[in-house]
Amino acid sequence: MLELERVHAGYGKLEILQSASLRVPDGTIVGIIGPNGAGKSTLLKTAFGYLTPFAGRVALDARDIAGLRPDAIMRLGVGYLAQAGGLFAEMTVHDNLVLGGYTIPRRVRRRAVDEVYARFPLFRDRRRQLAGALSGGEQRLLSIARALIVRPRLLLLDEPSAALAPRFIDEVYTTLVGLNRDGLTMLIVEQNVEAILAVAHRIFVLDLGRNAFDGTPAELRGSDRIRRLYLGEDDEPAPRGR
Amino acid sequence: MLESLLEFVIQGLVLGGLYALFAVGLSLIFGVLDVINVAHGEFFAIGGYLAFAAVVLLHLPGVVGVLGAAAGTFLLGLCMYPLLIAPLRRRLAGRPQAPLYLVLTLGLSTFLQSSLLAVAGGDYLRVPPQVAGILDLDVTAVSYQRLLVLGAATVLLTLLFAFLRLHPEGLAVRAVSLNPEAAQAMGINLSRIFALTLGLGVALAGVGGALMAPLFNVYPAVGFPLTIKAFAITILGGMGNPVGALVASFLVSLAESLSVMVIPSQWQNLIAFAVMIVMLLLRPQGLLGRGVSR
Repeated sequence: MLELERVHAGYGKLEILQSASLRVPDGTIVGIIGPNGAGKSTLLKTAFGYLTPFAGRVALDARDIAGLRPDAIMRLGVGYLAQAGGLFAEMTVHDNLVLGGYTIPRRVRRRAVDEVYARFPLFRDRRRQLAGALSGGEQRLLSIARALIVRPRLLLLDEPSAALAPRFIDEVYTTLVGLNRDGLTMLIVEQNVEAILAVAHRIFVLDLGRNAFDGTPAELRGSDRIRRLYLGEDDEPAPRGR
Repeated sequence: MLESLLEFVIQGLVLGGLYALFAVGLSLIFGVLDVINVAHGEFFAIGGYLAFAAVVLLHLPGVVGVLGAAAGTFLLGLCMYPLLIAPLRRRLAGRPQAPLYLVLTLGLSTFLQSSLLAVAGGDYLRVPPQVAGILDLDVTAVSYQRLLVLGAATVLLTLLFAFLRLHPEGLAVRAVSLNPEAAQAMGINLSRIFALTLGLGVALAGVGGALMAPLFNVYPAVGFPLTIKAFAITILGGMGNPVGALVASFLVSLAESLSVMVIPSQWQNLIAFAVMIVMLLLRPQGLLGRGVSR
């Protein structure tokens, strides 16, 4: 579905991604992990058109989308969830959902918003509240619900578990797994390695803007070098006592 | 005393309507585009000239003059983004832009004023009132034209705020002012919203110019003093906050009108700027802070 091939990208003249490649097949959850500054969010922003790659190819269903604006990529069936959810905190829950359906006809939008209210009754009860007044976990669920209004085929998520309490992380990931079972493809950048390893079909490790690993979560767990470098696990037992 | 008070309050409300038409548009543009439009007053003047052309030159009804001014200035505002702001934005990608937008719109202001001077001359042009006559309220009398300014401002601003709160395009304008990147993820085309905002903002000034033409006369620099006054009003209300600009417009206009009862009239114009300076020193975010969403 989504393919990045030898992509170089960054901000101004600063090149963050240096020949990074990645494939997201239909119906899968693909996770991207790596140390801070590795270029994970830059890769997601490049895939969604916030950044135009300096070189390389970004393709959606074999169509080159490098250089397209984010709103144009969104209209091709790609949703994007920013790191903090990207909600409009000073607007109501309902207005946020209406904006989620900005690109679809009014009647379809109304039905889609009603479906969100049916699935998350909490949001119907609090539709007139400011989105910023919801708890962190509720905000994250609202941003996911908002992204689903246009029924995207591919969802790009930047650290969906960031700054959430553990019970909300479980709730968010349970929701994401359910959506994937319904056929939604996802590319997830995550710092919470255990959370993403538990759900992803494939993992990419980025380091210094380059691919450091590409495989299944089981293969990643089986690689001593990757485990040591990126999961912070040590092969040697920790010394006990003094 | 009571008669004078009532008269000054009515004058203040009419003036507030004009200030609001002007300042709300200026504030909306700043809130969404981060552009301080120094050329706002020239769109007010263009509105006046369009009303003059429709009513005096083409002998059309006054309402056509006002609608023509709204449509003409709206179209000019729509063109302002792709022709002026967007090219500069592209060239300055990633660098601070606000000072250069200020210079750009200052240049546009001078260009438009000079163009109006070249085309229409520097004469003060008279436009007949859209509605004639005077309403006698016993304690004071007020012309229907002044009431029209207040009524039109009330209707137009109510429509604008309803649009921003209820219509998906209006929600998109607010979304862009809050978080342009997140707005793009909703499928919102930023260029379209920027152009629409400029169109709406300057059209409000254009309508103001057409409505005030019978009261102020029309000449190339007629809008410039209003631009300066509107800066003070928008700072008082909170830069980029149209609701704040609305409230501040009436506060300033009423303060100016009522001040005449206690201080000499030549001091009247200082009030807005004195308030602006005090506000900048004590509460730079203004009365209601920033945000089209509020």
